[in-house]
Amino acid sequence: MGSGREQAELLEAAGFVPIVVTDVTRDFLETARRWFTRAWELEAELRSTLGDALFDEQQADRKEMITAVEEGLLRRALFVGARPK
Amino acid sequence: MRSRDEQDAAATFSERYGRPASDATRELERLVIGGDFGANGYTTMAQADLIAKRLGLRGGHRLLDVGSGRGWPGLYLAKVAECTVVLTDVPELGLRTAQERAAVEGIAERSAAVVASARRLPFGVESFDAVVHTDVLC
Repeated sequence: MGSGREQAELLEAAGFVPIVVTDVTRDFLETARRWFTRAWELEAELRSTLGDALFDEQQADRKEMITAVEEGLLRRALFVGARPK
Repeated sequence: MRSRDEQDAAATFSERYGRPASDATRELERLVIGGDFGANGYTTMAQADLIAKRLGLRGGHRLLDVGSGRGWPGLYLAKVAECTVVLTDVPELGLRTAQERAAVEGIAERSAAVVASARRLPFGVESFDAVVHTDVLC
């Protein structure tokens, strides 16, 4: 993921101004952790619904996401901009 | 014509959207993000509420949700803001599920779904008052 500044510049280049950026990385990490831990709590039911392959794939993706955020490789932000008429 | 990436994404997500929700998947989603629209991303209901507030959504507005999957958060935003929403995504199956959910939510008349790539949206200039785009990589 690029920096928030890069994203904002892209939006500005598309004509959106002003750009308000809200960093939600902490929420993102908490949400990713909830997906991971809650899914393990419901493992038997979810494996029955999703199948083993998809369940394991999703959990691996979530674990990777959590690690990437913890290591500062991933961030998440809310960008809001208006396009003047 | 769809790009190779779009074809791959459509195939992957069509397979996933074809799996019916269960009590477990709905419970997991409610526990994690606060809703049960069939989402698998990281936009929580609290963040959706923040988006509605930041965009100033209200009745009469036309909202476009690009990459809506099964309708999250577009359908929720349309419901709470009492606005109209058009959902777009590449996998048709997710949009069909979203239309069913719109009926359940009582907003079928204020929602529409269009199979379209974010790269080539089939709408004219100033067709919408707001656009939302969450948990999608284009």
